[in-house]
Amino acid sequence: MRRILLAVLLLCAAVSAEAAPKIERIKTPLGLEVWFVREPAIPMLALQATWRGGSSSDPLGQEGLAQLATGLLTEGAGDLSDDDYQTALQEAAIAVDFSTERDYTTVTLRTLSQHRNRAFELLKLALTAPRFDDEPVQRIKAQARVAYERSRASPNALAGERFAQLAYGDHPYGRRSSASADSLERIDRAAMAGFTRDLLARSNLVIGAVGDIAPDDLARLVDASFGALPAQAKVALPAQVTPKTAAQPVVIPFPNPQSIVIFGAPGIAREDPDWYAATVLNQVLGGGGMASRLFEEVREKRGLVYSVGTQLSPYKAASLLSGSLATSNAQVGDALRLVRAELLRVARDGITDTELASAKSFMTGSFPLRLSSNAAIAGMLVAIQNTGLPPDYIDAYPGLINGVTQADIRRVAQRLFARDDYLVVVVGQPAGLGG
Amino acid sequence: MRNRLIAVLSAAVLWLAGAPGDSRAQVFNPTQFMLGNGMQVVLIEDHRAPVVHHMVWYRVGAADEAPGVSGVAHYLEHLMFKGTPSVPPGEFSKIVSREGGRDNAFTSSDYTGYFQTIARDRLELVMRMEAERMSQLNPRAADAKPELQVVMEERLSRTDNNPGALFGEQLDAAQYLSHPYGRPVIGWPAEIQRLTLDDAMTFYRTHYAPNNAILIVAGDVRPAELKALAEKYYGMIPMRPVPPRFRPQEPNQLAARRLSMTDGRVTQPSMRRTYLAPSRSAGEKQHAVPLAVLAEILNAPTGRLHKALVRGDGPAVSAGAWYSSLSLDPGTFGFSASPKRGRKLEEVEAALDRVIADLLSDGIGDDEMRRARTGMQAETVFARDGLSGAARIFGVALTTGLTVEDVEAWPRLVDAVTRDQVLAAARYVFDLRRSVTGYLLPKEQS
Repeated sequence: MRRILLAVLLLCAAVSAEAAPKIERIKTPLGLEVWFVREPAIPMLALQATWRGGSSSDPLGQEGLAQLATGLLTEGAGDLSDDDYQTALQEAAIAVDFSTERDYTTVTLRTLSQHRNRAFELLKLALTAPRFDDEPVQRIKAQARVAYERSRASPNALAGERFAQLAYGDHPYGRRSSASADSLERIDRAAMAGFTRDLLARSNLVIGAVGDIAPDDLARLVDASFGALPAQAKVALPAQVTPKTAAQPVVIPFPNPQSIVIFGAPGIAREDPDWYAATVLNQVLGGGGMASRLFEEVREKRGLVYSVGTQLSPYKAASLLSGSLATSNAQVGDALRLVRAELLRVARDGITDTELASAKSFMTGSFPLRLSSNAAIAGMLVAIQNTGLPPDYIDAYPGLINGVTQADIRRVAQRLFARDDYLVVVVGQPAGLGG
Repeated sequence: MRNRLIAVLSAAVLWLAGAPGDSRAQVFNPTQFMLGNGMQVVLIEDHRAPVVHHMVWYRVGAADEAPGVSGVAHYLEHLMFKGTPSVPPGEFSKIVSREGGRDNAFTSSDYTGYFQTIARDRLELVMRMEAERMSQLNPRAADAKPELQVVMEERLSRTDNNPGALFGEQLDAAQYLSHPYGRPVIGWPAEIQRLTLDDAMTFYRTHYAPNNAILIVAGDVRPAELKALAEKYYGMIPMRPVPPRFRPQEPNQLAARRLSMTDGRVTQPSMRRTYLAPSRSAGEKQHAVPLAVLAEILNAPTGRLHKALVRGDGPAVSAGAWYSSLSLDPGTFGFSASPKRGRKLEEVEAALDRVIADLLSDGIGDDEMRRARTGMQAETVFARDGLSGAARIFGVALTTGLTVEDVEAWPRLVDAVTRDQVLAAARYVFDLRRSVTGYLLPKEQS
């Protein structure tokens, strides 16, 4: 047993993110920038683009506007009705999908090389000439209405919603990102058309693409579709906010045999010099799946949960540290006490040298695994730009992680975990939470 | 739902049935060979990144369990992380992680699989560890007991906390009169609670042998290199007799079944209809590929199902069809739908019945056939983008009675399907006597 473990440790230093994809920065004739990786192995193209601005730009009382409006962009545009547009996608096996989160709105496009001209034509229509016809608007609103009713019976949705309300209060992050029964009444065609016109611009746009295409051809297609967008976005972006904490857990009674628990506290900004140390620490504590301390203590040793973990979420207007677990109602108090003890222990004692080395080895060694498909690489190209990092970030990453020292870890552990006032939301019929 | 996957941490997406591009071309062009002890090996080379996806699949799943010990296949999957002579309990995933890799496992009715994704120069390490737990698993009772609690918590998360999942179990149980596909993969609660380490180890010794396993590797490794490593680690495990996969088969189903379940946690009603359906390996196999085409046709966003149920003045907010051509014994062709507010489930069901009746009387249009083929052929190109998808397709196919050649033939088979064959398949399958229709309802307002 010891022999293999030792061999494993000795090998660690050799793990590295070798053979990073070669990123080209393309300037199109119309002045748009595209980060591009040429990948000739498969006759396809994957493109991702984001616009800064998402559900946190929904006007008060119109929660869900961004989601509904962007969802309707592929339900009729230009000369094409909703049915015509969807059929045109299907005829050429093209996927154009919009999605919206708090800070960003994203479109992903996937096409076979042979249909790429058609794909960019359809994308252009969705971006510049959405119709918001009555039939699809009513259909999508009816779906949103039922989704809202369903979410009233989803413990995870209830927990997430209450957590956001308590953590962010009146700030837009405290509001729903999907529609409610009330907000649906206030979202009409004019609101959706206005929102997408204000959001989908060139000033807040970032593009990444991977596939079997020459850079000049890509530039031409990008100009033909995105080039028609207005220069300047006009959406409101929320101010900075610090997540609130709480002295006592908040319980939402729900008739399930197992409780859902989420907890959180202020986290760390993506631009913070200690960001990389915080990610290494989180990896050891609760971000490392089956290799994390919380997994070991709460699941492996005691069998209290199926899943438990923590994460760092550097939103644009707030930095959050959060965690979650699910356990039988009778065990909630025990599981939560164990988790709290582990968080305090890491603040007090830090992590061992072995844990530090293992986490670094995982993070640097697993980085290439995230780049194993064209779509995944396109997503990475966009994320790097949105974080304000340079194209050589993929090459620089191992150095940034390996540069983290025990002193960095101790500092950031103090900063993040020397507290016991986590905001805790429990949905279920928990026992053992005390007074 | 035939392929009910249970993963240790996350269930991966299954490429349902379909695949690749030009109908003359091969899809994945894999290399295959057999080790001396009868272990099958498949390699899908992909040299785009210095990474490998390493999987071992066993031809055994929950439908191979004896009556009364439902869940033992899945419990064993969890115990496979609990120690071998050189890897202490709980260390397997830590070692993989420390080496920059990710690992997990999954259980379904027909198969059980274990995998790691890792840098290519770590392939030997994970092969050594995976081979060791194929033949020398040795969990301690002290670790097995809390792991059973973990499985119970997993069941609560996946099923008991979720009225839709609970209802799905009831529907599956009603669909199968005799075949063990009627049992949940994770097991019935009372039977899980009674499982012992001995039950799991008996199952292990009976079914986990190299001649009952398939090694599937996708990624940056050459055939000669893989062959040498496979012989070195898996090839030295002796072959053992493994019982044939004999499962109780369905009798003639003569009576349409209807179920309804109310649950206070449900806010929105929904319905599900399943029909017993052949697969590429079982039953009236000639209908399997046409049924896959039919599912593609029915699921089109502007296809006849959505036009009648969801779009325009249709009674539903959502509707879908599903079918997998890959299962060892006959599976199901299914539909699900939820009504708009103020519309009734009965109205949704009537609309679904009209869609099926029209299909059976009028058949399929040329446009529908063309679009379905286009989509399915494109999927076979997209399936080559990413390591795990291709490996998983071969794993499912080879553990459900198909061959590598059967997988590679997919685009040709899809291309050859005619309108008449789709109609014949629909007429064969959509027989209410072999169906289950279920309503999931909120508690009556009092």
